[in-house]
Amino acid sequence: MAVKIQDVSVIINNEIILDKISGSIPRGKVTSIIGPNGAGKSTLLRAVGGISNNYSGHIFIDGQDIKRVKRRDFARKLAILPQGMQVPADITVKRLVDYGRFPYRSWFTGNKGEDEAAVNWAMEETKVAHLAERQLVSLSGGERQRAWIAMALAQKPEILLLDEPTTYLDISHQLEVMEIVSRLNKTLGLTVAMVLHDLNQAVKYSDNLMVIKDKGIYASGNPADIMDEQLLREVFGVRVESYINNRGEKILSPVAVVK
Amino acid sequence: MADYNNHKIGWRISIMVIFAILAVTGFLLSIVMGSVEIPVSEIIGSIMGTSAGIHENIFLNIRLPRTVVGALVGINLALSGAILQAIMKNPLADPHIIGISSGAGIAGIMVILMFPGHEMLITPVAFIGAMLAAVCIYILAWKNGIRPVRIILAGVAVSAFLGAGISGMMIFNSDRIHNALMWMVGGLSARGWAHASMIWPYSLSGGLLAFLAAGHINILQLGDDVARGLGVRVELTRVFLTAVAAILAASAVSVAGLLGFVGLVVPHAARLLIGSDYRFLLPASALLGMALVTIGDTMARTVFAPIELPVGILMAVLGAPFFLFLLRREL
Repeated sequence: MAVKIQDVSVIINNEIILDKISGSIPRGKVTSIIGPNGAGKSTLLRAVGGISNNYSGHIFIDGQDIKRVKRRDFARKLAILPQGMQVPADITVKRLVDYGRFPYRSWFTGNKGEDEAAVNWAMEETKVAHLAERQLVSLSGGERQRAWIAMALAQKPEILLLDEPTTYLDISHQLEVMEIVSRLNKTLGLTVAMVLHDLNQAVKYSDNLMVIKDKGIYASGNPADIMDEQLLREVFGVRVESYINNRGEKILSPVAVVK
Repeated sequence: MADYNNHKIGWRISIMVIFAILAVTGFLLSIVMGSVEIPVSEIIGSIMGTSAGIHENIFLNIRLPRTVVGALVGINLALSGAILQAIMKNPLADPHIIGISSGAGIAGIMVILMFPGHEMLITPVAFIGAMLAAVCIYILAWKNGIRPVRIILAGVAVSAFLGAGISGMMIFNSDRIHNALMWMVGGLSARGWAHASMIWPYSLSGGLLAFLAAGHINILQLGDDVARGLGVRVELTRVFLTAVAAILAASAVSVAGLLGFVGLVVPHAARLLIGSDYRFLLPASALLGMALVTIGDTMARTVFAPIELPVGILMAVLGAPFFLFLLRREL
């Protein structure tokens, strides 16, 4: 297991957001965290990603409690892209990706050649190399998201966390981002965990699902095993019809809200 | 969206050279111009030690120290404003507007009135005042994160509160009201080598720390979450940078009073031309700050001669409309 989550609870302003969650993110797999709005998906991802540490319980990466790992060492092992990122107006793709090398730099040390190589590689992998000198604000939503993923890749992480990487993108850019994530997982063995809204995408691109409902984990496991009409009714409150498309994939089509 | 080309390295170097020329020009103008014009030949002679012209005394003991103080004040305020704008994620942040200068000011005035003759204490005590004001502003503005508008409002409130304190102290010490008034406006009148020696250690150390932190400031501009993800200890970095901004502002306030808007106008103008990369923006702001204050002070001394305006009035006349312009554009 790449990440082990043990009895993690989060309480913000006297409100319980996550209640004693335990689970794991398997190494070398794509894991999607799904669940209704406000279930605590992002909260969990941010805790695992080291962005917020106001939780009780323990999160282990490779057996080490992440609260005991130095920030820089952590950033070399795990990269996280939160939601709602903003940049100064004049920043170029290349400079943004270069910031991904921050955990490897200090005032007196650093390897320029290695940094340069990592930046170029990351831009190639996410197909933004041709946009290197363009300003981020001038790009489409999909290109921008790919540039952010390139920044995360420049960290040379073993684990990549993405918080709703496809939200606000049109469908072709959504699939493009999913394809890149999937390819990175297959070619590099990158462990990926992401919060997704689109259930069919979650099923299609994930090896593993973590379904969150009412501040806890409702189910987790292989999408084919756990994703069914009952789960969607109980977790999301919708009635679905499912059918097998002509590529043999099971497609879930929500048809009504369960009263 | 505007088309920017300020990330190109050649462009950046050109802008930096222009700023450097402006800074040097301002420095020289400030020495040469005034109620007595000092010929450049005499200045050169004095520096070389070859000839002592009749103006040597004015040059060495009046113009030069005042110009040095003005240059350092400009550098400090510009750097302080540039840092504050990044760490408060606020285009309107400036040590004067958000109340850090007032904090330094009230502490400085207390020293002047209660411990006369201990000038060297002014800057450290002003620094403590500036830090306390910054902490107050953070606490007042903090509610599920920091919002630009709340920082401005908290700053205005803190400024008003401290301003009342300063006014009160002035009334109880009305025999010194002229000095205090000049100090409130901010000016460089009669600043000498004693003042230069009060500010330069802080300019040097504060400037150095700011430049060393430029990489961290760049990352902070991506937002707290992304910065944490990249391994920055965000809270610690922000406290450290607030302290650097406060020491720069406090030392400037200690020698030049409540000189406003330099920290607002300069980083904005520099950012517009050279971009948001703080490795370039900080030195560019320092040069432009030096140019603005030295040129501004020269104008304030000469335009209405023989009356000498405090340079703070000039800065407010330029800066307040600029502030309103930014307010409409950015918030």
